[in-house]
Amino acid sequence: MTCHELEGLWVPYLDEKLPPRQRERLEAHVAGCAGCAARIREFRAVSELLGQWEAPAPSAWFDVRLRGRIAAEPARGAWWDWLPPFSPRFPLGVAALLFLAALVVWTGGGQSALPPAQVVTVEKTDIALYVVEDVNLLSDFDLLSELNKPGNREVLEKGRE
Amino acid sequence: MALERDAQLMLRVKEGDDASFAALLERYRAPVIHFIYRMVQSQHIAEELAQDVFLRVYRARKGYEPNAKFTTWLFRIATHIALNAIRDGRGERGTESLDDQEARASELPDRRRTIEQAMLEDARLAEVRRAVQALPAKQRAAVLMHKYQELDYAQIARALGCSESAVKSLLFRAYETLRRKLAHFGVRAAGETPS
Repeated sequence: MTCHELEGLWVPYLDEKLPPRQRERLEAHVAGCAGCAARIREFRAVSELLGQWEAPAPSAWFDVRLRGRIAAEPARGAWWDWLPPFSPRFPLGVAALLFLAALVVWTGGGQSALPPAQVVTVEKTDIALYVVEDVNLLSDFDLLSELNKPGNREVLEKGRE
Repeated sequence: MALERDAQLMLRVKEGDDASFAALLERYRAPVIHFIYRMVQSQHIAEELAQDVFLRVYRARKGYEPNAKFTTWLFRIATHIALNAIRDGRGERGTESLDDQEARASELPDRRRTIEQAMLEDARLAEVRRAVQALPAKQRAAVLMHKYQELDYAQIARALGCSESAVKSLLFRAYETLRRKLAHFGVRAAGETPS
């Protein structure tokens, strides 16, 4: 039995839970190995050191607070009881998903929602003016009528050039 | 097979007996708080988390079945709550400074201790706490349940959701790390190393 093979046996050995046969084999090895003999002493010393660490006594208001929380419990199960306990990861995850969804909608799923600049032409503007002129309310709007007169349209075209 | 006393108490809690819940609280209040305190090393957070443990026991009373020892079930809940708190950074943020802990230790009334003895002892305990705190959370939980709660390997395995051999391995690695870290307190014998 080598020192490495003993590794899984140290803790049960120190707990005195090792079967007699394994214990005898371990002790036979330790009797001839100074390193493992030291290791046993060190493990025992660690255990003793840990034993000196005392935890503070519970505070006097622990029960009072707990009873208050129990009293505040709803008598019947609420509809959200099936949900897992609250974790800050959940709202953060939801917020991240909403942000990504908003980003996808805003960018049009990879295509620009805005028309290219060259789409706006003089012809299109004219068509738009005709459409506007068809609206009853604006049909008497003098300025629109003036723009549509043949002479004025030519002047407008030259000015744009 | 006769039911253990704690399981009987819990079955009475299931039937609505609040006195049995008080009896369980009386018995396990300190062990649960102490276990979580050594996990997160902050009394304030330990008590908060221990309240969550007992509240969860209370909420689960209607569905309780004595399939395992009560302590196994209780420490399984306590371990999950402590590990979740550590994972979420709640335990780490709340960790008291070692100065606070040392100050509290020095407040303990012990007239037999001289100042030098007290300082040496406090320094040693601070080092022990630091070494335990540095262990990975699962190893830490295994060591604390093994050393202070005296749970057997099967109980620790159920609490941690792993096999018994995994528990033995966790314990060996944890104690080995502690042995190395606390060597300067004379734990390690000079010049002697295992082959």
